[in-house]
Amino acid sequence: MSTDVLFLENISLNMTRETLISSLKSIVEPYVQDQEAFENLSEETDFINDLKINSANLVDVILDVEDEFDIEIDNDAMEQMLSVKAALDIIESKLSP
Amino acid sequence: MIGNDLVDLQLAKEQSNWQRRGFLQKLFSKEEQQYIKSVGNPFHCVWRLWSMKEAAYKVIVQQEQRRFFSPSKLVCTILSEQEGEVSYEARTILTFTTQSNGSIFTTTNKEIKPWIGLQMNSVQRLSRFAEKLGVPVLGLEVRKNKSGVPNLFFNNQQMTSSLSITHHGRFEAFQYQTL
Repeated sequence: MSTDVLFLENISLNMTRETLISSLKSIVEPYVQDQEAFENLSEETDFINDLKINSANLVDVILDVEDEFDIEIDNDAMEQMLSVKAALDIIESKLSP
Repeated sequence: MIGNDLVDLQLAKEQSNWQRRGFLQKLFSKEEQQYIKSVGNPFHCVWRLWSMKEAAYKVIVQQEQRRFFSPSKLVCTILSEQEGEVSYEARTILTFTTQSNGSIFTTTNKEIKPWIGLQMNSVQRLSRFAEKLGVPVLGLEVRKNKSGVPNLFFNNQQMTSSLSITHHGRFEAFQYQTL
């Protein structure tokens, strides 16, 4: 493939990742207890340690993610879903054919 | 090692719907799900069991220094109104649950009297720790290690071997063991 095509493919993958982050932000927002961490949300952001989301609400977040993206996150996939990056990786893997 | 968890039932009712599709399956084993559906007050049962899992989880994190989210693998057995146990892999952790003022409090250590009260900010909390430890507030801090495990440090010296702080809604609670 030419480098132009690869470049465009990379842009579309990044945009998808950003769109996912944006959706994820809306999903977690009601449970966030640290506004500053939320405003500075990045892939490294941890749901419980940084956003101070109560672990009791993590299930709600995961159920909301399932509904929003129409995917199923089984308990094994859920086990390490503690950060934004982990959530995005799981969502992407469930979305890809 | 101490683990505890507090649930403000009013907030739990507002924020989560235990009857939501998928909710029980993600948190509870099949046997636990059946148990919940068999009792007179399933809402209360859900949150009692949840608090048991959380309290036990906090002990496991301190012992194994790793975090994970597998509530259905922390299997609860109710022994009495207050006593219970949580099994995870090879281990069994005993729990003790009390209820007051619309909140549920579960701890793995009933020998150490918990402080339970209204939610505080970090300055107030630190003052309370300082008061109980008999040290000045200045120099006292809660430090978390890589696994998110907190302990109290005074002038960089570790004061506690185990510290468990829990807050939810209107309330918070803590217990600790000194070194």
